[in-house]
Order: sequence, then C-alpha cells, then structure tokens
Amino acid sequence: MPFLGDKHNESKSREEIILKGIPSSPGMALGKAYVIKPEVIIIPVIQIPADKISHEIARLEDGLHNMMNEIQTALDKVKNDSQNISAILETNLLILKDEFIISSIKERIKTGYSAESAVVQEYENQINFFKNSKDLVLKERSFELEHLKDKLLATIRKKITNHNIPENSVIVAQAITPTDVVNFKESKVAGIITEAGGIASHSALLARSFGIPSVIGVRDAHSLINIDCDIIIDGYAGLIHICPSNECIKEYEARKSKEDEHKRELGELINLNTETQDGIKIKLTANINSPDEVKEAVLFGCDGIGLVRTENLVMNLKRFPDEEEQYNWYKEITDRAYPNPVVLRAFDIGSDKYLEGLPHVELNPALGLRGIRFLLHREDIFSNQLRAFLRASVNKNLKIMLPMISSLNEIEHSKILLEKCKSELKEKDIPFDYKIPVGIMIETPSAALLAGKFAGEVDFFSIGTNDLTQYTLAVDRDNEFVTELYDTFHPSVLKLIKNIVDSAKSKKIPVSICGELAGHAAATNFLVGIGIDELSVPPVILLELKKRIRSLNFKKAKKTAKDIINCDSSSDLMKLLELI
Amino acid sequence: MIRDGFSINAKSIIGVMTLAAEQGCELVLRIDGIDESNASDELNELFESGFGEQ
Repeated sequence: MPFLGDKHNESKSREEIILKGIPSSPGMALGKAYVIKPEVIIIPVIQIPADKISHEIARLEDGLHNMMNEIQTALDKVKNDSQNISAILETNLLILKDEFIISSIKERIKTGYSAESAVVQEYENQINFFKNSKDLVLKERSFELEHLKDKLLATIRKKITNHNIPENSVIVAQAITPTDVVNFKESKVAGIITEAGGIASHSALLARSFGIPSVIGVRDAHSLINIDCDIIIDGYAGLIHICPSNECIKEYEARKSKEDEHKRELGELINLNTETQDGIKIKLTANINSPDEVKEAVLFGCDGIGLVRTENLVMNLKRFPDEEEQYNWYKEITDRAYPNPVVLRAFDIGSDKYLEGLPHVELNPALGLRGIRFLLHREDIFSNQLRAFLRASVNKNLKIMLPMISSLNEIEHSKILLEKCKSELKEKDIPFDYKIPVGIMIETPSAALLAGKFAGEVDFFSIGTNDLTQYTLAVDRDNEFVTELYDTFHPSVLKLIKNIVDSAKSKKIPVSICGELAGHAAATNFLVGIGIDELSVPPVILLELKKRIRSLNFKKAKKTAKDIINCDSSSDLMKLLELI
Repeated sequence: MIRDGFSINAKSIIGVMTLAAEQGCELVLRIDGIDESNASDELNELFESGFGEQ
C-alpha cells in the first residue's frame, strides 16, 4: 500500500515516504537517487517536398546506424557474461535491422513523410498489434518496441543525453531499455526503479542477471523522487524508502550486513549448478508458508518454490479468505519468485486444522474429510481458490497442486471445476495462463499404486513422504505409543516411492519430493539414484543439500538405489543408507 | 512461416513475433529458394533439437 507524506511539507522536512512496486530483481541497496526525466518527443506528422526525400532517408539510415552501434558497444561490454544476456541485446539489434520494417519506413518517406513521422507510423502499426494481445509476454514486447521506437526517434534527432551517473546511484526512470541496463551496470549503480511494469521484460531480466536490486511499476516515481535524495531499495519485497529515517537506515544496515554475511558464508556454492559429479542436474526448490519466505529461498539460490502451503493463509486469518485476498497473496509470491516457477498447493485442510464448514468434529481427521475431499465437498471455497490461482498466473510461473488425491475421479472432478473457473474469467476478459499446469500430491498408498494411471492425467507429481509413510505403515507419528514404528526408510515406503518415480518417467512428467525425506541426509543418494527430478525443502537447508548432491556420482547412486530397493532386511538397509 | 492460416516471412523477426507462437503450437514452414533443401534440413534439425534448449 503506498502511503504518501503530506505533500506540502515533503520538500522541506524531507519526511520519509514509502512506495510499493513490484519486486523484479532481489537484493537491497542504499544510494542517492539519479532521476532520468523522460525525453518527451512530440512528433507532428510532417509532410516533406519531393526534393527532401533522399535527405530524410539518409537521416533515417544515420539514426539506425548510430543506434545499432550503441547496442553493439553494449554487446561488447557483456561478451564475458552469460549467453542469455547477449541474446537479449541481439534481439533488439535484430528488430532494428528487420529489413521489412526498414523498407516500409522508407516507402512511407517516399510518399512524402519525414523520417520521424514514418518511423512513428510504421512502429505504431506493429506496437498496436502486440498491445491488443491477451498474451502477457506479447504485451510486454509492445512496450519494448515502444522504448526502441522512442530511442530511435531521439537518435535520429540527435537528442540522446549522455548520462554521467555517479557510482552507487539508484536510477529512477519512466522506462529503460536493455542497453540502458548494461550501461547502468558499468556505472556501478546500486539499484533501479522504474514506473513501467513488466517483470517479463528484457530489461528486468537483465537487472536480475546482473544482480542489480530493482523495483518496477512504481507509479509517479520520477515526480515524487528528487534528485540526490537518499533511497533504500528493497528488491525482495518491492519497497522503496525515499529519504529514509535514521531508524529505517539502521534497520536496513542490519539486514544488509546479515545478507552480506550469508553470501560470504555460502561463498561460491550459491552460483554453482546443482548437479552430480557426472553431470546429472537436480532441481532444488523451497517449501514456504508465506510471501515473506520467498526472499530467503531466493537468497539461497533456489530454482523455484516447490510447495506453498496455502492453508496457512486460512489458519492465520482464522477464516477462509475471499478471492481478492487470495489473489493478492498468490500474486505477491509469484511476482517475488519470478521467473522461477511456484507450486501453489490448494488448501490441505482437515478438522484437525480448521472447523468452519465441516459437518462435525471427526474422531480421526487424518482419515477424514481433508485435502481434496474437503475441497470437493465445499466447491464454493475450492472455486474461489482456483479463480484466485488463475488470476495470479498471468506471469506463467504458477502451477496448481491438488492435495491428498487417492482416486482418479478426484482429479477429473477438480479439472471440471478448473475449466468452469477458466470460462468464467474468459467471459469477463480477465487474463490468465490458459495452459496452467496441474499436478498432484502423491501421499496416499492408493495414489502411489495408481501412479502409472494418474501420470497420464496430470502435469507433475510431488511426493509427500510424511503422509505417505503414516498411511502406508498405519502409524500416527504423533502418537507416543507407536511413534518409533514411524519409519520413512521402511522398505515398503521406499518401494512405493520408486514406483511413483518410474510411473512419472514412463509418461515423461517431472516428479519431486516435498516431504521431510527430501532433505534427509541419508536419503539423498537413494533419491538421486532412482532418478528424482526435484527436491523441495525448507530454504535453510537448500545449500547443504546442494553441497551433498554435488558430492554424489549418479552411476554409483543408481547402483546403491537398486540394492536398497532389493533389500528386505531393515538392518541391511540401514547399512546401505549409511545410517549405521 | 504459417500459423492458423496467417503467414509471415520468417526473415522478419517482428513478423515471427506477431505469430504469437507459444511453445507446443503447430507451425507450417514453407521453404523456397536455391538453398531450400539445405535450409529445410537445418531447420528440421533445429526443431528436433528443441532449439538447443533441451
């Protein structure tokens, strides 16, 4: 929520102002504002006499040439960075060089328009085409074409201002191009704030690649921020503090030094791939309960969020949130994690956690109306949640996961509801990801045994080892009389896990583990050996797990996993797992 | 390059963008010119290899 200080006093007392935008590149920084005022170029439609045509064409070619040179210079600056970075700049170059658009601009000049008028008309044609698209990524391209067009116009008019940006500045701009970001990086800027939104934009992508903290979609930023005032930018939460109070600066410094300490401790590990010594890649994702935890997960270098327990929202509010509240919460998470994927699990709620809407107090909630059973029993609550998921999916990095599935008709029934919600949104012209992936938790023995069938119906599996163990062994681990019988490494549980992974592989869908077993030191070798694609764990153990995976050899792990599966004696198993 | 009856010249990157071709959609490629067989082989390879992203 933006709250603004009293406008009349703000210039004198320099009161702290907090603005909220979209977090688009994680990290924190404190620096002096460097405001780049947008160059307003008004291009009137100018008719030119026939004898000026060749002169206008020369001006166009000159402008194109200069701008291509500028991008080429930026390309040279990033030649040692990753290929993705140069690919972005090359795309800009390809657009400028597009022979079809150049020839149509020239044709238009020949019918008697100035170079600028011709550029505006031809680019606008393309821009409008993208602007009307419902696809968020294409819409984003319309803004990029727009920025490219403005830059080209300024270049033709030779109105490019060369900014001499002091080190450690926080850039405040209306919009920026990828080339700008490269130049900012060279000027060692501390952070970037833009008014334009679009976390899918190439500029946002570059800021993330360079690790420059960035907040976008901050309305009126360049009119509210004075040049030279101090700014704290929080790229995790999407907050900016203008003229921060001393308290705020203190808090920032404490957080920043903690972050730096973390980074030092983790050293190089954070930037290394999660792969075995023989090059088998494993995805490492985080289990989280709230938007705030995304920050920690990102800090530890996760590949995404493997599980969001949305029922926490219910338990915190002590009631079911409405669609709007849910949408805001989910969108916050997907924005913060972008471009990494986020798996949102539908409410896994039973009478042990929450009573509203349940028919009666249940004697045995674990075997009662919980997870998907509750959701299908309360279609109103489920549909609200599905609509909120869909609305938050516009970045195309959201996946839906259904909890406690035990039979096929639960999947079918849920999909029918989802389709219904999709048509409702379509009718209202509300955008969402048409192809939003839907996966299931495999945590009942029934689902584990039928995994081969289910794999053809869903987009991914995630194994919940805690419930799978409790249901397979018929042991309530919170019951002190039987708690020692609770054994995630029981041969029956491991055999079920193997069956789930094989079933997923046979239908080529990804399979992850989000239960405690995923982070268990003794299990990593086995899980990697049976071919798990992804492990989802609490953020704090991400790096420890990465270190362990990097010490493994896949071929060896595969052999050990085979021995483990064929082993029926618990004591032999313990030896194989190196537990004794 | 043709999608749902809408065709563009693939030499134009803006043209390719306007196809709005998301992953998994169906495209028809028409290759015409002196190096057409070479070009078609190479394009086939590019598509088969998942554009080097897999």
